[in-house]
Amino acid sequence: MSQRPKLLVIDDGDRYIELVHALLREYDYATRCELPGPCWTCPEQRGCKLTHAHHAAEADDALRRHPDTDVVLLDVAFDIAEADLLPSSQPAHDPPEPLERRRRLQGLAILDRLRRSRTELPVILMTSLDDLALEDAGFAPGADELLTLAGADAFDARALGLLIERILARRHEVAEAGGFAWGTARAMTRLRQDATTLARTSLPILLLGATGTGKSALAEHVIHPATGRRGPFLPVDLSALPETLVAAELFGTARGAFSGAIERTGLFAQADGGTLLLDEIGNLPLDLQRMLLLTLQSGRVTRLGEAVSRTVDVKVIAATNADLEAEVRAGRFRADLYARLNPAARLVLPPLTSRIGDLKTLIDGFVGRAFAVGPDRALLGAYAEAAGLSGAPAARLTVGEPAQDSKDSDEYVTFVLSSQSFKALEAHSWPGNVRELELFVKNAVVFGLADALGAAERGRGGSAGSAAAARTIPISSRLVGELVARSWAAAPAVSSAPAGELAAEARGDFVPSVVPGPGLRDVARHLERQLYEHLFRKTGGDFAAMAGVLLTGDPAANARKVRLRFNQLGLKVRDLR
Amino acid sequence: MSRADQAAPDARAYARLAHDVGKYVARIAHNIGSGPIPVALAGLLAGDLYDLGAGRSASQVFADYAAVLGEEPELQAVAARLEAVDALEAGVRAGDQDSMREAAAHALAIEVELRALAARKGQGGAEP
Repeated sequence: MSQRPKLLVIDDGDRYIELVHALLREYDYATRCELPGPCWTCPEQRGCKLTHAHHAAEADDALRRHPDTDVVLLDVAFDIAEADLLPSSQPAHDPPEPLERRRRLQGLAILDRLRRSRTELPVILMTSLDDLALEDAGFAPGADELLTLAGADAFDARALGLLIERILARRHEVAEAGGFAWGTARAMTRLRQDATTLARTSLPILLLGATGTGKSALAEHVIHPATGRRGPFLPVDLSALPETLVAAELFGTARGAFSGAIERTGLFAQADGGTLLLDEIGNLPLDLQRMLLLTLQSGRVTRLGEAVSRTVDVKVIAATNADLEAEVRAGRFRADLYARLNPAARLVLPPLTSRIGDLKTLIDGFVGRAFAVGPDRALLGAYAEAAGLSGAPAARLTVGEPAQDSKDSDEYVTFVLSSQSFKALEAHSWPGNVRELELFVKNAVVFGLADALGAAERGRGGSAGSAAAARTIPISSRLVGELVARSWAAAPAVSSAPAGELAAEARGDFVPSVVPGPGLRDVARHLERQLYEHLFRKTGGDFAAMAGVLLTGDPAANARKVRLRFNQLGLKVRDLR
Repeated sequence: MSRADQAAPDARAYARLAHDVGKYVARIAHNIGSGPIPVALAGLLAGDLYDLGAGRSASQVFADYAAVLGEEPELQAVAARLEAVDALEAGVRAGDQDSMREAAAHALAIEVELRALAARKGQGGAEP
């Protein structure tokens, strides 16, 4: 099978296809015939009209034949029969839009149709905004980054080839943007465009969004790479640091700056030439907000205990799930620092419920990620061996019935989620957003796989089922229901019982959920987080009471220890209240 | 009414002239540089210049548009270029490199001139 990118040309005339066939021979073309290409070696070539699509219906036909089309080259004006025209994509006209105008802007109607049927398909529109303005088209490309107006490059084969390569490269980057869960929601398309644009500037970036929406992942896997900076990406969770250590952590210390201070390079200096993510910026103490403001304004940092400042070149990203404007109004966040964080261009990650149409796409991605590496992949391998399946283990998930006749069905273990379960997921409130969804998916497939592995091992030596059946693992509605019910949406309410009476109760009803991780430390940390969350809720956020459950000895010192550990675990008081 | 409906007929006609002649006449010309011209382009260039649609040359299509437009100096300049292009037809069809290069240069200039004229007319809004 050819690995060359495949282009589909949609143009009423034949001149353009002749041009690209003559000069862009490193690509395959989506034709409407059954003969193998390339067209320029085909004996039927002369006068052949099957080389491209002349109107929308033929474009549909070509895309049905060639679902692997990589890029569409689309003309705008189509001098074709009225019966072949799509209705105008422009707002309804009264009286009806003149036929000639419909022809001259038919490409925009085809584009509109493509955008609804093949959202992800890059389209090069063979025109420029200037040309469209001359046609008085009132066309605005919006935030659709998969749409490119070729402009003067439309007919220059060399420039067009470069344009196609850039689009293909960008598409590849987008698909592999650190596994960031983009989906296809319009808000995410706009976010992606804004994030990459802001990344290239010297401006700080303010990331807003509820917990679990992916702020840190966006910063690390999308924004930092897009900056083109060669320095490191360093994240710091400001809610996880004791207030007394934040300044030293950020700005560094000189030996003797305070009792016990050692020579220490701060995060700003460590991130020189790179990117620094200040997560939970709303937790930064007021006195340190001024230091941060001065650093952002001057591009220089001064270590604690030193008088000399040093220049640093750091891309600063500040993230929070707090309402910073409200914090400013309440006097807890400096207005000048807020202004400095470029709030006018803030990036807001939408909650999962507002992009629920992406649910299937996101689940697909998380299934792939769950079995990409690590012990879960080994578990999948063990299942494949126990079930007598050949080939490298790979997994995917379908909703409803698995496609038995799929040509690649022999390459995957397919988890099947019932339509009813999927509807339940769509209706779930997802307070933990994408992070909660990823955990749900991982739990569901791992538990489903573990059950299937047990059954396969029990069946060894007995009458083996078919390989096709072994490649299908249903995820039961019961499991889905239990996992959703146990999510943090269903976390127990804070008890009003006195702290002193809580110890036994707190220990008694703590039911942790085990999430397999890349190492035992990760698993233990996850369990410990659950315990702290549980105790926090049970005690109403009383760290002394929590310490009373966990530790013996000096109550005041224990409370401090528990608070410190709480922070080290990445837990945030604001999230749990 | 849409903006298109309200636009001056002249402005729309100039925009269509820029598209139907300016843009189409220069398609293949964009690929003709100073180096050797691929043989495959000779027939395609001739198509742009002498068979722009329904067997009519670019100069004929242009003449139809120009007949209903004003006496703009740019139109006269384009007409002169198209006359020169027509004079090169035999050489272009025979694949003569110099003829093709000269005709392509005219075609690119025609595109630029007609686009600029259309933009000027479009900016001017409704004209008497």
